Amino acid sequence: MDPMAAIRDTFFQECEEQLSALEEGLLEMEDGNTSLDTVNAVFRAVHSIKGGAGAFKLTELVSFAHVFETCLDKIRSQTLQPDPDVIKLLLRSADILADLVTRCRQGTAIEKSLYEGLQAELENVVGGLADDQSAEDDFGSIDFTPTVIAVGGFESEPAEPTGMSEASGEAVGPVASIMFRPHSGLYAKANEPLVIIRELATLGKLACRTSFDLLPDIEAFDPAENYLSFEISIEGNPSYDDITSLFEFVEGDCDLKIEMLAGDDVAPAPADSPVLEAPVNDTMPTADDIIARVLGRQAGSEPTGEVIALPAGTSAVDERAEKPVEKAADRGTEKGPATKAIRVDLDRIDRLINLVGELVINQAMLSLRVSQSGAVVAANVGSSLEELERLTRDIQESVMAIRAQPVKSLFQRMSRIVREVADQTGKAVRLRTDGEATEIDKTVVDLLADPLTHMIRNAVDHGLEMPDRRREVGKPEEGTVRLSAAHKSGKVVITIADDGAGINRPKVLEIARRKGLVTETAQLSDNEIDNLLFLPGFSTATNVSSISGRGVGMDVVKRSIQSLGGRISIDSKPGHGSVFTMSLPLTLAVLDGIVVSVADQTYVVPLTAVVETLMPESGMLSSLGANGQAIRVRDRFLPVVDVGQVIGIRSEPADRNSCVAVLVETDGHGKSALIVDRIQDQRQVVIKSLETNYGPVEGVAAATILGDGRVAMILDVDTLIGRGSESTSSAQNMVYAKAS
Amino acid sequence: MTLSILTVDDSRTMRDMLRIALTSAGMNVQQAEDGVHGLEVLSGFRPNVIVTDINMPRMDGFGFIEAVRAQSAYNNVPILVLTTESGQALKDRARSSGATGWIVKPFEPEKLVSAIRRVAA
Amino acid sequence: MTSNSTPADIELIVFRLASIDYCVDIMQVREIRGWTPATPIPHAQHYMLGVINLRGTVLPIIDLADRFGLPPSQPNERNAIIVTEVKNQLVGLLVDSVSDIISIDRTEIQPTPEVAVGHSNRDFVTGVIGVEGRMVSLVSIEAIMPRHKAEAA
Repeated sequence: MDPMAAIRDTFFQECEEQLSALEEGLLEMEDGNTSLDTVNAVFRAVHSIKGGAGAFKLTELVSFAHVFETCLDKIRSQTLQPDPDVIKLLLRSADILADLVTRCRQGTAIEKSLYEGLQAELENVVGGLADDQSAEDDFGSIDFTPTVIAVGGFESEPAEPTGMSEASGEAVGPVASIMFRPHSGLYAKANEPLVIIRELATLGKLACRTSFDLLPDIEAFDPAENYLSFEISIEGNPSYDDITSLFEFVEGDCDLKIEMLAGDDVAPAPADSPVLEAPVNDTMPTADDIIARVLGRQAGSEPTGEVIALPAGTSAVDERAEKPVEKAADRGTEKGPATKAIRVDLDRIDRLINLVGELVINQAMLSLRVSQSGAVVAANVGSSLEELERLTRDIQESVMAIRAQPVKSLFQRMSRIVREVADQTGKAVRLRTDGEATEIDKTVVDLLADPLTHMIRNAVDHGLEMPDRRREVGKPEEGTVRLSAAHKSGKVVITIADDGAGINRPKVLEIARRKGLVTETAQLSDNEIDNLLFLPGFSTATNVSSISGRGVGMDVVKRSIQSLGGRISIDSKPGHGSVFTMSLPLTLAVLDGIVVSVADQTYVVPLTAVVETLMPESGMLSSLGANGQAIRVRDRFLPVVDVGQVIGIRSEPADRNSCVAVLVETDGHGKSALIVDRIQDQRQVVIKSLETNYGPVEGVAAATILGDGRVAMILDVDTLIGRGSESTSSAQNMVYAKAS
Repeated sequence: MTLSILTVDDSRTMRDMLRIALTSAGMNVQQAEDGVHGLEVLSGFRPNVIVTDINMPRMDGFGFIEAVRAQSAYNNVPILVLTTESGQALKDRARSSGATGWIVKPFEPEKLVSAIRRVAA
Repeated sequence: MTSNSTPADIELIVFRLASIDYCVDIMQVREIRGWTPATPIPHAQHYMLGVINLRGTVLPIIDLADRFGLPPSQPNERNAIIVTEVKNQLVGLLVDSVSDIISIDRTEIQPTPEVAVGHSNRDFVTGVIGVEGRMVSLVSIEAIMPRHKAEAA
């Protein structure tokens, strides 16, 4: 990779890390930890971003980061109190900083409106940037004001003609006369007069005389002090700036007098030009320039003489901010997509996963063929097959692990959502996260972003009460939303809990009735009422707010979670808040399932839903209503779903004498029994999309390919039971709206 | 003579830039990620010049310079401070902690190299 | 419709369905393979035979006769499946047999005559071609795709 692009990549990668550290630190500060370490870490994060941004000439980013940094510096030096309002401002600034970084990375244009308002607020908090602005102004400036005496015509030293001024043919150029007396402090900082004199010699013909004039009497002699001074003259048109820059580091550690003496007829005349003006004409180098130069290439089309004029008191950054935006954009588009921590192209991993999937299927087919061949198989063939199976499984798991990602990045995005919604609603909210290191398939992480965002918005917008209301009921004004992730028996469980008012069940029921989602007379349990939220077309907000509204309901959330092979449930306590629990598969590539037969077809029931399987004895199954059935399991009656009927492959129910009941439990419908003809096996199957070439099928979650090479449907237990209860109007009272 | 340089900076971006700029100028470069790391590197490496950042975790640039100067073996090694700010106060502080000079970020490679040559004995 | 109309030879795969000749644009055909038993899709349209495993891909199969309103096929080993691809979506068409590959000029494609409305397949036929005195109907695969997928897209 081109080193320039590589460094740019490194920079943006670092930005991500810094942004994440920044947010983490600010959240700690919000929690009351304003220790110097934390504040320093936060400061450093912004400072680093600013530093790198300067090198890449990302002016908006530099400008905003600078004010942000100044503000943090004030907190660091304890001249600004990090009260909650300030921290809120800082958190919002961190969000905007992240936005700016993203835009710079993508090379998209940055509208001033994105950051100006917040920048002004920061400036306000900082109390004007009068003293700090200088820091930004003097990229490359030298705050160094030695005495300058310009004298016309010749004085003192007779200049010997040299052959150095070949260009102009002048006999003698201007001469610099320097008096330089180092102090002891100069040596203490490892500066070396000889080195300076050596460098001065590169500027022209140099003559140096060491003066012992200052040497005191022996009694007054301090061996640590320096008494030598140097009288130096340089011929050959030395530049005044070059001379002063060589003394830049020793300013304050020496007595220095530089006189520019004109040559024959040339007036160097630095006298009437204030010293400060000169160095300001420096070009601000960009990283691109730097690297281009280092690599011996042309420094792009940047005019080398780009002058940044800095009238005292104005900000250099604002000046520059106008121009280079398009350039930044150009650079951005040349670049490929951002490289993530996984340095392997995801497509390649996916291809590998697909291949491993094929391998798993093939291995299963091979085993099947061998066992079907009927021949007496040698023992070592059998054990080789077992070994192959084990290896295949190991390879598969290893490949899956490559795609695993911690949920941290996802959770961090949520903290921003919370802040935004809190701002919009005027609520005080604290997001607490737990289990950020929990890993889950990258696709799941990506696909979870939208539903999670929606639920977090809901939790703040609908879940939490307004601060005054919270005070009335004796809760802290600040509401809490907890977001946590954990591995639990082969699945990832993510919960979103708020300490708000809980679901307003009478209101939910009223709305559901008004919208015809439930019949007027239906008696619903609390849990059933809560689950009404997931019905399509349901929205609790009487006035659809811009925050949670957006035409997306919890039904969409539920469908997203289900499409990921997950489940979602609600638990709500009036006055104490609501908890949404999602359980998701670790990967979208394989699934453990029970392979069953129904009407000569093979289906797979995801193991996650299965509680137990049993052979119904006579009397356990009983008819319920017209064509409904119930099963008695340990004195409890559970609704029965005859898979063959519900899925529509046969009209008559399964044979009661030989069928098998698979007891399943789902969030939406509690426990039920799926009736199938026979159980074949319990095994891991490779998930194949049915939607790629066909489309969604109700009651079917996905497809798989079995050992015999045939496709089998993986059942979507939740919708299957929903359909079952709908068509048999079983024990459940809930009636979904239908055309009738 | 090949100059040996120790750079101390916590930013990978900066480290990469320093490394490319200095090695391209024919210098021998060793890199450290913060002050503590810098001192560790110094125990087995004697640079002609040290270039250090200020804001770093664990041990910042000021602490690092003071620690280097406190060792008699290194009190005459020139140290240049890398800084985004060149405010007078910051320079004064760098100087009072014993820095030889400073380089304002973002830097041009020529300036970096010339600043190093300017202080290297 | 295929609108890259210029100079325009077009290659067509001719197949037979209940003694009637049809054809599809060869550019939309990925492969032709023999019949294997399909797994039924719940709640699918009657003409969806189900899905088969095409080297790891789940491939839906349409009984084209059924789709055209002809008596449904009784698929057997001699039937062929034409695997087609339209808009990145693969679908297999069950036909009686594949008979020929022909190359014609696009201008030879004539509008579907009104008389051809004997079957309800006019929606799926975009034109007709005379080949050696026989009429071959050009089938639009887009039009025969299962409908709900189009809605979902």
